[in-house]
Amino acid sequence: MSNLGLRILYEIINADPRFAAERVFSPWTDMRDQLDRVDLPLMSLETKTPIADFDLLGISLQSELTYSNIIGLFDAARIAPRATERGAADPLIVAGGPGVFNPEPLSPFFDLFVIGEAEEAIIELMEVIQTVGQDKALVLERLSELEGFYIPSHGRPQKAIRKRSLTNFDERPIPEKPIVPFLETIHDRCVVEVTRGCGRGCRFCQAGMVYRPVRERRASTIIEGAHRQAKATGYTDVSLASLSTTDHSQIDKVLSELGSGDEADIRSISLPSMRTDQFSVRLARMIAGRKKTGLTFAPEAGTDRLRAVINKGVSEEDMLSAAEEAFAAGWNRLKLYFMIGLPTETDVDILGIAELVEKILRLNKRVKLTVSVATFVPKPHTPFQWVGAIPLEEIARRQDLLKANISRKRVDLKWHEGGSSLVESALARGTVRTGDAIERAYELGARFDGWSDYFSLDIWRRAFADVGLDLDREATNVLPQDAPLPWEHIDSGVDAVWLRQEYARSLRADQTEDCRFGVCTDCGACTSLEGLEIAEEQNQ
Amino acid sequence: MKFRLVFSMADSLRWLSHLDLARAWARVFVRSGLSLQYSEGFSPHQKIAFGPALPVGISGEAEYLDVGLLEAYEVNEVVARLNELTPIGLLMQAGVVLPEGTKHRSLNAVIDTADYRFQVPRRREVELMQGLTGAEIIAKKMSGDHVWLTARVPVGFKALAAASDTKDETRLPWRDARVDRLALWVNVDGQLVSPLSIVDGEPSGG
Repeated sequence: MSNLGLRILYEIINADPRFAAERVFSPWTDMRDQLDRVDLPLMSLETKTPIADFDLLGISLQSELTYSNIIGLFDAARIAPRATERGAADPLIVAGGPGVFNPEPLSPFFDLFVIGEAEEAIIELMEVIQTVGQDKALVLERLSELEGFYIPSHGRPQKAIRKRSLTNFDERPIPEKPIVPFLETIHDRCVVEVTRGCGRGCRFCQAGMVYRPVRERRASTIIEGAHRQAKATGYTDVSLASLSTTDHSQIDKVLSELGSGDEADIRSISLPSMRTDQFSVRLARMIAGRKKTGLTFAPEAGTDRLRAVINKGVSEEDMLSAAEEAFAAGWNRLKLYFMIGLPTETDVDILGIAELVEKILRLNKRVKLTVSVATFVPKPHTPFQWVGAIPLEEIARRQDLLKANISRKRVDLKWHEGGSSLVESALARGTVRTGDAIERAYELGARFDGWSDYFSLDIWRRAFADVGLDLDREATNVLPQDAPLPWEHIDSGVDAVWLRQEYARSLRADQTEDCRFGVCTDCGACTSLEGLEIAEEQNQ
Repeated sequence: MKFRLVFSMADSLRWLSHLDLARAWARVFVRSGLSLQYSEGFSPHQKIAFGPALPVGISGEAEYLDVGLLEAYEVNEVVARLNELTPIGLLMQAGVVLPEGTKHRSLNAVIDTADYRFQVPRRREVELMQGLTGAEIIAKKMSGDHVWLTARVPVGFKALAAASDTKDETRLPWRDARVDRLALWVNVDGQLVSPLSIVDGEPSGG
């Protein structure tokens, strides 16, 4: 329910009188047990129609750690997991979301993948199904003539499948009447996407690469959209979503107008993603009101050198001045995100996290910090796609090193067990054989791998071994720069040469500017998009 | 201007928690465009106060809330505007204006008695009667395999426990039982009256 892409597509389909979309989610284990006990198949939430009776089933691939759940969803819906085992009466099964940028591990299970932004493609897809009917082979044949559809049963395409990307983002509908759940869900508020894509170019960030180029909505579009959604839902909180909201060229105007309107429908605004700088803190201050719940910054790495390697573009000075500004404005709690296991990282960088935290604590005697430490996972279509993840023992050693050196007074340290990062790495850069391991892992009991109380490294190690693969090797493997990648047939719009160049620059700790504020480095994302509108012209 | 409103929550909405219900009504009020009073303080929220919470799994035919609105609306207008926007299963029934200038005791403070109706298979009647020991049975009906029993109990009575196995940690009623709260009452000098009629306002049907 919290997923923005789902909200967008749900409304686009249901606004079209020819089609109807319903929702289904992976049932939690207790519900799954109940379904089995009373011998019922998985059903849609709206009309309780068995999932197998739909014409089309779409699944958004948000995280590799949900892949075992996909097999589980097919199982609960009584649909054969492998596309080759399904017949004409089964739904056509399509995947979307960030996971499609390496479709290989899931290619045995899906009939097709929509690469990139699906706002337009989803309707094209449904029109083809409506015209052609149940002849799946013919449906897929027709779709193969359109842009952005990858069809595994057709084999490797001669020309890479180019992702879909909107050229008129500002005009695309903002959900007007999203479903309002009774239960309190994550992001239980209005969500208006202010910017699509991000130009910062953090070298580990897949979304920052594959959703290029950056496109902004006009300030007026955002403000109208927020009020419309608030009126329709009864939500009084608005979240301004994007990969880096405080980078929107008119963010100060948006915040001051949204917060000061005569209408009482919007009572609080949140910025889910902020740059680490004084400007962002000042913006946060504009909307915080009297209750200051907490601010989140993501320096990602502990030293200026490593932050240059990953192109984070945030110096220690930025970090400290942002923290100082926040404390002066009355915040007494900060949340900091870091990663370990980044390329070229040494113990100096790990200790650098502890030192940076110490310096922030020294700014103010009363403040408390939450420090979350994730483990780097190399993702396809990023400059770090060739790099291996660090081995499990090394994750543990670096975590221990940090734990032994970071101040535990006034610091709440959070980290994940390394095993799930290892699986995530192996799946993210997997091949079609990895698909066998996913199916096997489900058979062995894997599900809800993103939840630590369900995750089992042993199951995944065994599943990989059972299909002739070594999990640890798959995760830590360095891929050769001069050989084709498993996802070579997917064109994210970002030039392969540019990615190689970025990787080379990272090793020299050379930073690359955001093209909105500095020079174009010719990543290739916008050169082939005709009629592209990046942002509103500003007349000042 | 303060209103006391009575509503029903039926069907699958009996699975809503009290908190979910409160949020659902708050959103309906916001959507309706009726100008709501907000509380003062660090995080202002709508001034809506509910009567005794319904346990999860029990539906309600006449539940109560008090709400502060900034304008002088007709009760019928408030009821109608809300009902245009309620989710299926939630329906405003009627209401009264709480007169200005007098201090009103909260719904929770005044409501002391509740009527629950239990629908169970006949073979479970004895079990149910054990669970209802001490309660006043005010109606009983048989039809087919089922028996309907209506009990009048103090508002704190654990109605779900009467139709569930105590060892069942989920605290849900028996799978074959159905429990509805039919009414809430205020005891005024030994007489049970509706929470709507203890205020000096004009009652109005919806």
